[in-house]
Amino acid sequence: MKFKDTVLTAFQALKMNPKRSIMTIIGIVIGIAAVITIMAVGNGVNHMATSQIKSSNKGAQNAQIGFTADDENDLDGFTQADVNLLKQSNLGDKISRIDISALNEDDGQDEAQIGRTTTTLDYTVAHHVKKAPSHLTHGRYFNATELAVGQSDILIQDSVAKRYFGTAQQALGKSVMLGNQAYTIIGTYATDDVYGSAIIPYQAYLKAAGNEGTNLILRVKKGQNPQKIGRAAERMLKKDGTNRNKGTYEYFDTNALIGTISKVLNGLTFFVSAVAAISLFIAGIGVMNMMYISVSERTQEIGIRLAVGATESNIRNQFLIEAMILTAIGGLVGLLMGYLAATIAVKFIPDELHIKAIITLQDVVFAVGVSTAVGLVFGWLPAKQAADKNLIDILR
Amino acid sequence: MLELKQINKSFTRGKTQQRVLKDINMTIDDGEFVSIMGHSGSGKSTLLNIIGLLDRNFEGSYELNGIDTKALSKKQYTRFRNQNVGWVFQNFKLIDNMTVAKNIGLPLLYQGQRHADIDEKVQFVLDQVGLADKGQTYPKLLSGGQQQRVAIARAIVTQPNIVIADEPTGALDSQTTDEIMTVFKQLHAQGTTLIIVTHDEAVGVQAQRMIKILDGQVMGDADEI
Repeated sequence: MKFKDTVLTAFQALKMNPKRSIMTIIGIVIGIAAVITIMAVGNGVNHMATSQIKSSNKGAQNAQIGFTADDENDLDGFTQADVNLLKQSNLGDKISRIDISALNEDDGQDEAQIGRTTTTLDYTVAHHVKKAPSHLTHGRYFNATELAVGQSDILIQDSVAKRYFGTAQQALGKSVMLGNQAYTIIGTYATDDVYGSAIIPYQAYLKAAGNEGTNLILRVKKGQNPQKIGRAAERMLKKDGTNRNKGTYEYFDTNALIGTISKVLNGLTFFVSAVAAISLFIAGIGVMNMMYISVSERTQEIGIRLAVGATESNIRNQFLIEAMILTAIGGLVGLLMGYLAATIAVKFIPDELHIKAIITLQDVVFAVGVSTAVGLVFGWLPAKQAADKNLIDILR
Repeated sequence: MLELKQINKSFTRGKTQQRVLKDINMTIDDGEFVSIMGHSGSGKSTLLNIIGLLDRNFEGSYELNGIDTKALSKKQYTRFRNQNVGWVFQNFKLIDNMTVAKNIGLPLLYQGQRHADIDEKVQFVLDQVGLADKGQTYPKLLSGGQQQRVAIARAIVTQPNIVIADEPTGALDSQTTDEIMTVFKQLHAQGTTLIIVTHDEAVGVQAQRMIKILDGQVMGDADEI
C-alpha cells in the first residue's frame, strides 16, 4: 500500500469521530501553547537585548553616572575635579575619555531667559536634518549646515511661544537666552512626545556647554566592561566626589531592566517547561487511551483489512499515523495559540522596551516535532496491538 | 490447482487437546465448483481457513498453484492470498464507513495500485455483480443480498484463481440465496474455482462436487451429485 493512501485512510478515520479527536488533542494544545508562549516572549527579550548591545557597540561603549542634588536644584554636581579624580585612579587607563554633560541622552534642562522672564526650559538637541518634529507650525527646521556648524538657532514649542510672545508668528526672529548663550528663534512646532519645549543643534549645545553638568559620561576603552567601570566609578565618587555631601551619585545601568526581565523569564521558562512536560505526558496517555478504544472498536475493520491483503505493518502504520496526525494537529494549534498568548503577554511588559513576541523557525520545528513524537511514542502500543490481532479470532 | 496432504490440526482447550482435523487429503482442480458440507463443529470452517490462506498453523502440507504455502514468509503469504484467493464471508464483512466502491477497491489498494486503475476495475466488477450504480452508496443502505454481492465483487476484483465462500447464504432468505447462487454459477461459468462451505443442503447440491466433513474427517467426496 502506498504511504499516501495510508495517510488518507488515517485522515478518514479521524474524521469519523471529530469530537473525540478534538478532545484528545486539547492536552497537546495546552502543553505546546505554554512552551511556545514563553519561548516567543523569551525570543523577543533576547532580540531586544542583542539589538541594544549592537547599538552600543557601534559607538563607543559608554557608562553614564548621574548626580541628583539633595536640595539645591541648580547644583550641577560634576566638576573638573571629579574628572581628574577618575582619570588619576586605577580606572584611568580603562577609560579613553570623560565628558561632563548636562544632557541625559538627548534631553537637557537649563535656565532660560525669554523676554524678561526667567524660567527653566526642557530642551532637546538635534543631530539630524531628518529628525524634524512631526508638525512644524511656523518658520522652519535647521538645515544641514546649521546643524554642522552649530548655529545658535532655536525652535520652540507653540505653547511656549504663545505664552511669552503672544502668538507663534511673533516669536520668529526673537532672541532667547538658554544657559549663557543667546539663540534666535527660527521656528515653532506643535507639542510632541519626542521633543522638549525647545530644540537646538547638538553642535551649538557643545559650544555653549560649560565644564559642569549633572551627568558624567565615561567612554570605555575596547574590551573593558562598561558596567563594571560604571559601578567602580560610582563607588569612587560616593567616597571622594566634589559634591558627595550635597547629593547622590548614581550609575545608570541601561541593561539592568533587561537583565531583570531575563532573570524572571528564565525562572518562568523552567516552571512553564515543567508544566508543559506534565501536560504533554498526560495528553500522551489520553492519546494512547483513545487509540486503544479506537482499535478495539474497529476490530472488525482491522480483520477485514488483514483478510483482503493488509500486512501487519500496514495496519500498524495506519494507527500510528492516525495518532501522529492527531498530535501534530494539536501541536500546530498549540503553536498558534501560544503565539497569540505571547502577543497578549508582551503588552504587560513596559512599552519603552519595545519587546515583541517572536516565533522562530526553531519554535515551529519544536512544536511540530515534539507533538508528533508524542503521537509516535504513545500511539505505538495501541498500533502494535492492532497489528498483532489474530485474524481468525476476529473473523470467527 | 490446490493440494492438501495429511492435514492435521488441534486446539488446546484447557488441559485437553482436541483434534479438529484428522489426516485430510484433498485435491481440487482449477475450474471446479466444490461445496464442503458438515454440521457445526465438524471442522469445515477450520479447513476452509487453511484452504483460504487465513490459517497456516497446521500440520501437513498445502500446495496452491504448485507453491508450498508453508515456505512463504508472513508478508509473502499475505500477498499470495491477496493475489490468489478471494474471500466471501457469511456476514459480508464490509467496512460500514467506506463507500461500496472503496470497499471493493481495498484489496487493490493494498497491492499498491494507482487510483485510476482501481476505479476502473471496481466499476468492472460492480457491473459483473449487477450493482453498476451503487458504487457511491454506503453498505448499510443496501439489502442483505446486495451487500453480499458487494462482498463477492471485492473477492473477484483481484481476479483470483479461487473464490472461497464461508456460509455465503447463511444470513440471507431463500429468494436472495437464489440470487447469490446465480452470481456464483456465473463466476464458475467464467472459469473461476469456487469453494463454498455450507450446512444448507439446498445450496450444497448446486455445486459440481460435494465434500462431506464429519468430526474433522472427510466422510464423502462425490462428483456430479
